[in-house]
Amino acid sequence: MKGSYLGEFEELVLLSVAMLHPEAYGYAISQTIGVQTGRQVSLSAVHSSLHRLEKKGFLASQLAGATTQRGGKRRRFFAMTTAGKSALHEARQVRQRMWNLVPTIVWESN
Amino acid sequence: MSHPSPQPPQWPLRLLRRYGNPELVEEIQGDLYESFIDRVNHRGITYARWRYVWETLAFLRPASQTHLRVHHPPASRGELFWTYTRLSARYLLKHKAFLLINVLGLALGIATCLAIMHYVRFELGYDTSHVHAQRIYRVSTNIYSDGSEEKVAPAVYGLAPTLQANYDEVEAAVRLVPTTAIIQQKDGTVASEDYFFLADPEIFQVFTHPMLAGDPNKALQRPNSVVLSQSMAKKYLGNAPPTSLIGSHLVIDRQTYELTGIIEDVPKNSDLRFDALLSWEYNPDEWLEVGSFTYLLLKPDIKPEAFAQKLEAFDQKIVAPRVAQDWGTSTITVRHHLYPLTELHYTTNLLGDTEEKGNKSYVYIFSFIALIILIVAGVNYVNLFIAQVTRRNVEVGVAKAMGASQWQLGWQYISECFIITLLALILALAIVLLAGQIFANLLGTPIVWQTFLQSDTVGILLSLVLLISILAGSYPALVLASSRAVVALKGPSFLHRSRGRLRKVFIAFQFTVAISLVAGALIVREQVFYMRHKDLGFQQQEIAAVTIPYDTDGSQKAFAFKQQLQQDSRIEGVAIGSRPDGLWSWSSVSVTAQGQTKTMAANGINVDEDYLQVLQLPLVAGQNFTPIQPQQVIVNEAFVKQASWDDPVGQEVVFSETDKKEVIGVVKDFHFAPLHEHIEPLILFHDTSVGINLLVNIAPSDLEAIKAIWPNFFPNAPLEFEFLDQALDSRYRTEQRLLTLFNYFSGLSIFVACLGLLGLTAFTVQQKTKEIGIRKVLGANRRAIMYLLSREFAVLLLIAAVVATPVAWLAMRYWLQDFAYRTTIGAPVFLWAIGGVALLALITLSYHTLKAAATNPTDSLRYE
Repeated sequence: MKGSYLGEFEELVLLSVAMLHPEAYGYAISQTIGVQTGRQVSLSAVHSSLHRLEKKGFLASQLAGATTQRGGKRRRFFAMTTAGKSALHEARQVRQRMWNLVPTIVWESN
Repeated sequence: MSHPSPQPPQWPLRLLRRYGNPELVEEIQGDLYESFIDRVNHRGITYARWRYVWETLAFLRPASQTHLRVHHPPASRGELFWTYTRLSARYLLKHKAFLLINVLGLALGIATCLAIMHYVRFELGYDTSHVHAQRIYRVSTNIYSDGSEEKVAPAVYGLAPTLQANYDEVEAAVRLVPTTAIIQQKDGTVASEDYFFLADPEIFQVFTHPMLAGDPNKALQRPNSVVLSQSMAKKYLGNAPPTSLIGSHLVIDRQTYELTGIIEDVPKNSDLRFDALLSWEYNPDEWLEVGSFTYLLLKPDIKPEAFAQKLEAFDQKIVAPRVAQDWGTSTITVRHHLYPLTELHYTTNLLGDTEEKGNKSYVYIFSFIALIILIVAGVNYVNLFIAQVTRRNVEVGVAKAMGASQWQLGWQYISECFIITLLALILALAIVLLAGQIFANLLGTPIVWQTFLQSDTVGILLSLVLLISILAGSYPALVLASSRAVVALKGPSFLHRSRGRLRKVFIAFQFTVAISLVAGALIVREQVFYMRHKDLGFQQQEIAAVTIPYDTDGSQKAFAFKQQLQQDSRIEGVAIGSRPDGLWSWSSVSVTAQGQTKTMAANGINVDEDYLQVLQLPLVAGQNFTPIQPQQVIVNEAFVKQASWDDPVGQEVVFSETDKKEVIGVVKDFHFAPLHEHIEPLILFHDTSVGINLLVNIAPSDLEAIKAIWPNFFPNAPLEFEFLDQALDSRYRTEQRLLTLFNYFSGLSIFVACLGLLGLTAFTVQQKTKEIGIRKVLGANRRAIMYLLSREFAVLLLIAAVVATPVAWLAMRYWLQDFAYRTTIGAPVFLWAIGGVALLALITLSYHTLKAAATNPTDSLRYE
């Protein structure tokens, strides 16, 4: 399932979109990722990722009206599609399954 | 906000806007701005700015390009032109060898064309500079006598005045009589000029000769007036301005003439060239002497055909009775014919004509060959260009993948072609100008750069450049540019198979032309060699023909001079007579054989009793002249044959009722005419009064013997002589020139063909790099590789040879028909031509094939 594969960064972006719903747009997403992970994320990386996710069908987008806040520039709001949701779920389930399969001893030994 | 909010730097955005999809750029810009403001608040303006630049530029990374959907704004046509021109120029500069081969080949082709164009323009431009050129006709004379016909260029002296007086159609008529003039120079010595003409004053009414000084309407009205050409005026009167020279006096033929006009030099492409015009007044009422070139200017609305009919009526009613009266016979008919002035240069076979004649078929042949050369160069160019372009498949593929349209790519190739063609044109012009002297010698006409500035030449050249660029560029433009990106990217051979046949046809065509031209050149060479070395039947070596100056007592002086020369031991023999290579006269005679009398035409030369011995002309019957019998003639074998005499000696040759001569001997046939013609009947008259030369058997190193005593006999005339062997050589100047041109053409065609071959082998070798590598790994030796690479071309050469041989054979056989005496075309000529061309082709081939065969397979397999 090459098409539905989610990269780590993509997963973060997707989660951020979900978190920020319904006002997820480029800068807000990069802020969120920054706050949540403590990493500095470049806007262009976020945009690349957003468009790739949109292309994969995980996200849908819509241009909103202009605001004075951003120098009169409109923003593009992103929302998760059903495919996006199930991809997130799937990713989470995979992890969960794998977590569950880790023997307890791993955690106990140091 | 009380203070203006801080602004991010603008320049990175400009970049973004330029390359990004406008819709996407907007949201990105917004995000960037927001983050900038945030950072200003948290980290300060400097940091914010720095990050802003960094982040904006990050959007330009290739990784971001996909979602940016790189966008090219539609370019204007002008921009496109420069873009593609620049791309083409870059490509061409990167492949200098290819550029050089292409430009050089094409330039040579164009240069040849330019030179030939120049020659053709010169040849076809004869006498077109006269304002009334289209209305000027020369009247020439046809003399018929019992089945034989003689065409003579001049007409009788009485004709021009009679026609002008009696026919309204004639606006003006002029007579010109060539004369050799002895002219006195300033230092007292004399010089002889050959191009002086006696002329009626109407000459300036008929012809257009721009006058630098003097009044054309009055120039030749008064007796003893002379009009000089500019260069003659300079020669005899110095460099003073023309106007100031008017009225000067010149002593010509011991008479004083007054200079009344100076004209521009007569153009070289004129059938009637002269250096000076002398006034004369001679209106005899006789119809015997055919001595003046007669030109008529017909009135504008007169049809020449209609006037020719009137002329025929005139011949029957007026001329016929006069001829019968003056010539004392009614068996001779005289007819006058009109020849358009502009055609005179090509009107051959008229006796006593003016200038060396041109041959229109040579003009056409040269044009044709030049065209072929141009086509070969063009084909070569197209071929190389296509071969080279197919190597650029990756470039095409990428361009197409990036969304270039077929039209854009096509335009690039056409503009590239245009650049090369233009370069070639410039180079061609340079070649023509640099080699101007060679061309001048070759074609007999000088080349000056002004020639190429004429509007029609410029037009022809530019359309040539356009045509070639479109022809050469359209193939890659149509085929390559229309290919799909994936196909183009796949490999260099993607077009190779489909178009291989066309390229082969091109190569075969080039070599067909090369072989044909080489064979042609060899055959012309053989014919020229044949003509120059054929035994003409008389002694030519060490025979000096000395001109006897025109003089009232020239004949007596010649005799005395001869006697003096005979005393000298260095001189083997002296004879007085006509030159054996120049005809003096012709006659219509009647002879009787087997009881039947018939009339025939015969050429005549005047000789003395030593003539046969000096020129080593053997008698086959009868005997030589003895000093005392002027009523005897000797004839040649051809005469005997035509007269059908069984026993020629003692027969009578009847010239008229009162003039009959006895045949005392028969001389073996010799070639008095050029080898184009068969040996015709000839009569040798025992007469040394007119039309004579002194024929001296002397070694060129001993000429002092003549020079020393010349002034004792002819103090007023310069010594003029010519050795027969040299004079005879110059007879075949036309053929020599043809040979030189053929050599040049064939060399050029080989060169261009080999250039093409060189380019194509490079291409083939490159295409087969992998194949060669694999074959070598599998054990193929060098010879096998050479064979592999040359095989295809060898087959093409063979095809070219098979096509070229019959073509050249037929063409050259046709050419040889012009010669009554000619060489035979043998197989060796073709073998040499084919062998020579094949050898050169193989050498050319081997340059790349050897290299390919010697390459280490590890290198060739690493390729790609």
